[in-house]
Amino acid sequence: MYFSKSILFLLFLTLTLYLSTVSLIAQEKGILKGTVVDSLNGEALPFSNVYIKELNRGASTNANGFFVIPGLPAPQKYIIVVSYVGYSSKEMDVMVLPNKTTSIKIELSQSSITLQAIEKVGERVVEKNATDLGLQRITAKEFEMLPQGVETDIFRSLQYLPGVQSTGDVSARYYVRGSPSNENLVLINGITIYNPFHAFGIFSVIDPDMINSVEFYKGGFTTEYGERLSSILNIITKDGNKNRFGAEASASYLTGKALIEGPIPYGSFIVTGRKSFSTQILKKFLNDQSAPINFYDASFKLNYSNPDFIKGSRFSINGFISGDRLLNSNPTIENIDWYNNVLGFKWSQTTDSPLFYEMGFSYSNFSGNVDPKLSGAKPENNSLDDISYSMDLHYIYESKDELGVGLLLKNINSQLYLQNSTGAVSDLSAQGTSVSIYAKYKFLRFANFGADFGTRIDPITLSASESGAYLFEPRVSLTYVAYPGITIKGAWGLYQQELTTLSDENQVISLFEPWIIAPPYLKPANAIHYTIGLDVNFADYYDINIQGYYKVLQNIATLNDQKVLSSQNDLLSASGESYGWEFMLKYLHNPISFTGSYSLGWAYKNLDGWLYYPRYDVRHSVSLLLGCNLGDGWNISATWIFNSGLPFTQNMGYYDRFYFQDFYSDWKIYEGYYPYSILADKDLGRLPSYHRLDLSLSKDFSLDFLDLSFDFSVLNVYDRKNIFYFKRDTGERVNMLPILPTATVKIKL
Amino acid sequence: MKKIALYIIIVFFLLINYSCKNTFDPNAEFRERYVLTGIMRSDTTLQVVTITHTYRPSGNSTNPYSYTDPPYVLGAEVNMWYREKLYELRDTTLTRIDTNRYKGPIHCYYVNNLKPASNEYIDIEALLPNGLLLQSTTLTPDADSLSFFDYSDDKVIPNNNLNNYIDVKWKPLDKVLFAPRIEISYYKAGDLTEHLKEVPLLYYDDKPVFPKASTASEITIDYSTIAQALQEISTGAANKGNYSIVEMNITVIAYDPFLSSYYSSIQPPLNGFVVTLDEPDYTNVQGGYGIFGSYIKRVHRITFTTEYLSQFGYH
Repeated sequence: MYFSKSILFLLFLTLTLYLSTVSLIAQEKGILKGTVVDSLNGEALPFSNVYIKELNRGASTNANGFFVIPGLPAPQKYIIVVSYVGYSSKEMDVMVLPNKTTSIKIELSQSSITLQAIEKVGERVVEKNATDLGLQRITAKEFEMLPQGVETDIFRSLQYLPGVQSTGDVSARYYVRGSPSNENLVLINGITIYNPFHAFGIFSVIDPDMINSVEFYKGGFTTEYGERLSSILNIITKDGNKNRFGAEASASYLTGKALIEGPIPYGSFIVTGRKSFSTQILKKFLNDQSAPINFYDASFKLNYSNPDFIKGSRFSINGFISGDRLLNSNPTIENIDWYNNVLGFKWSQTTDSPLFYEMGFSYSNFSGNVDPKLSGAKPENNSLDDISYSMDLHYIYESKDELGVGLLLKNINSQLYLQNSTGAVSDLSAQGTSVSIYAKYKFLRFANFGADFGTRIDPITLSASESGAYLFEPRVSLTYVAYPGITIKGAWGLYQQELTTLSDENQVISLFEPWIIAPPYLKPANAIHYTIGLDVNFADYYDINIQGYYKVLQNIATLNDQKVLSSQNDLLSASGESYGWEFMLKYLHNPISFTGSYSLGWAYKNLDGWLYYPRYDVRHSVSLLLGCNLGDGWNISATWIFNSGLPFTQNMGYYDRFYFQDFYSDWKIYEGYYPYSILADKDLGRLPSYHRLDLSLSKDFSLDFLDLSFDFSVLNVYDRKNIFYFKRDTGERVNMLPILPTATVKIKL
Repeated sequence: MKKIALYIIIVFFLLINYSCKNTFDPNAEFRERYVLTGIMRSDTTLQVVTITHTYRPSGNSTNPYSYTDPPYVLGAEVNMWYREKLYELRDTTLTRIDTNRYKGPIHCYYVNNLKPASNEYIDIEALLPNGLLLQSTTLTPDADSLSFFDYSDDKVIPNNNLNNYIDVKWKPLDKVLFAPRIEISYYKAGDLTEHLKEVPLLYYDDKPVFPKASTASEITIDYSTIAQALQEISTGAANKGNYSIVEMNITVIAYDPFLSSYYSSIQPPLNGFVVTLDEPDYTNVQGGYGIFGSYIKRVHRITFTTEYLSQFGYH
């Protein structure tokens, strides 16, 4: 019933789209479309600005570097200005003919004076009514400028953004606006990566060298994204050099990496690989314990775009694998391993009308295993298979309004078997299919006002829960330019999530988070986001951004840590609430770049009537990034992060607990007692504030045919003793990362 | 530009200076709680229970070992009920051997005329001097439920099949952990005492690996392991003929479900890498902490053929 209604709705929208196309062709106007690419390697430059001087109008490129501007009075010659972060802007003449689509390819050259010379010609015109509240875009060029540390990591880089928290140096897991980490969706080229962590979560599996650009929504995301309640991280990988073959190699204390790329007929390819070769440095993260972790990740992408085959088409196949293995030949030590496997196909099609669409088919798999062997450890087996089909259509009207519709079909098979700390056994396996449709209309015809409204429709859901799933997830995002340079934004939306992890929020270091379809006794989790924002931008060299948010969460699957019998439920339903303010200042003026942010937030969770602060509730958070281009290839940067104390459960005293191994030897009930702490009410205490200063110095230079890059960083320069936790049995204080010098060398052919 | 840089640096150092000033106390208000610990044994009439109180290290110390006053609760009225009969426990003191932390005697409560049978409830109540009541109940495991499967090839070594191992299985039980032990009993010439040699599951790098409690209801031992254990019995002995091997026993202890959960909760985490902060304390004692549990024991006997033992020079 729901399904047929949704199909009718989709047909209606498609018809609207068709009629709009007909009306457009009848007018004496032309369409300008094209792609913006790097002049050296042909790599698409997503989110670059294309600005038509005469009309004071423009567009941003999408993730494929593609743009389209319909409804241009024709015939007429226009001067267009194209700009992109870290590239010299380019001005060119374009002739637009009536009732024709003019296609251009714009090649931008990298700026010789790096990021500090950002030219943002026209950006304030192009983007001023963009409905992008909560969205942060990071390009490969910006990513290169971030401090490297032990291993450059996209997840750790996100933690510099206001509203994004971590629970310490040891984990790359991130928490967005007071929500748990399993409410963050991580996509590689639109495909879900379920467990994107290496080495107990210390690093992400995403090799930064494969990244072209990143879109990160902290909340209030519009209807094209679903499946999670809190945030969306969409990583677009590089296509590979379309002009010549190239190779890169680099090494840090932890990993060795390689990349090869090059042209193929009508396309390009790229292959990346990374492998750990020494885990000595991990001891610094693991309280001086040796961890025999062996991890790897690899990716490839193949692109094909032949105008003689299908005009305007672009096909890509991408794959990604990662693996972590702690294998011991000793039978008394357990084996632990976990893997991600991803394969995706995408067909992107542009047409002579301002319509473009994409169709994707993907497979994503995660598996994690704990084989206790003879160690006495608890066995754990988790696997999840996700087969997805997606279709997205995007149409841009002459008026600049846009229409988007899409479909996502998913078939998920999850399996989980485990034992908890009290020995209770859980077997949670489920299979489900979901159908999700979205439709949205972007109202952009007025220069000072933008609106994006639409809904996701979920006629078929994964969960076997008989009630509680939403059919509609309506969302609205609004932008109003109140005064030149001052933009007010707002967003509201309903969100739903049916997959969850059986993860213990009390674990500050965990092996991996097992994913499952939410069991039938739980309703699907849902959230409502309310967000407001203010952008202040009177000059090209700075931006001020202020955002406020309020988020309500319902039916949050939370581990039942009181489970002692196998018949008890593994998950309980909790509710949550979070609100706060975020401030960010960006200053970019050669040779200085500075980003400062502050966030003030509150997060609460309610489980069985007990209200508490979750572990990621950080009241005050400050991050300061200062970079300076010293010239001649030298760059220096400093990063300082401050977080007010994280919640923790205080110690109410100790008792002597009886420990035994067996009852064979001459055991006595009055011997074998060791202290164990008794905890007070959950998370009512606060740890001392956390802060850390990192410094980084890098040098780029050329040597014959080689481009070389050295980076030397010192983490926690003043050796701040940030508390990680207290051991329950000995009361010993365990600190986070001490002062840690690291270095990376990179060679590029 | 220089001014901006200067302002940034000044603000930065002011922030560092401010953020370094904080005081921190990891402790909440201390509230005394009580702990009752007792494991009922079916192989003796002496049943012992301890009752202690919680404590806090002195000063701001977080090291529990800095607390050195024995935390016993004296003067409690401790009663047990078994088959509707009341057993009043008496307090007593025992000499402490390990005096590294606590000095003075060990205090405990005992009864010496209770030998519980299987599948029976035992209730306990401890009325503390401050009026607080600790209560618990255990159901001793059903002896009939712990039964070995009757296979012909797990009674003698070597068995008649072609395998180079012996496999012993017993009935799995829900919510119950099994702790097996493998032992070879033997005599030495001129010595009437029966000796026991514990046999590992396997030898890894010549080090024995012994079984641990788990839900597994099966145990498999390679003949090579048994052979190595048999050889170790007479290591260094000039005349192996002085040794007389009796049999190999596989003993299995089944913990009651409460004791099984308690055992699981006291095991160290995986490798020590996983850090869980707020793990709940498992207890089946109402009004306090601790464990009141029971277990049963069953033995499966395996004999050796004379030919097999003669390979090792034994009778």
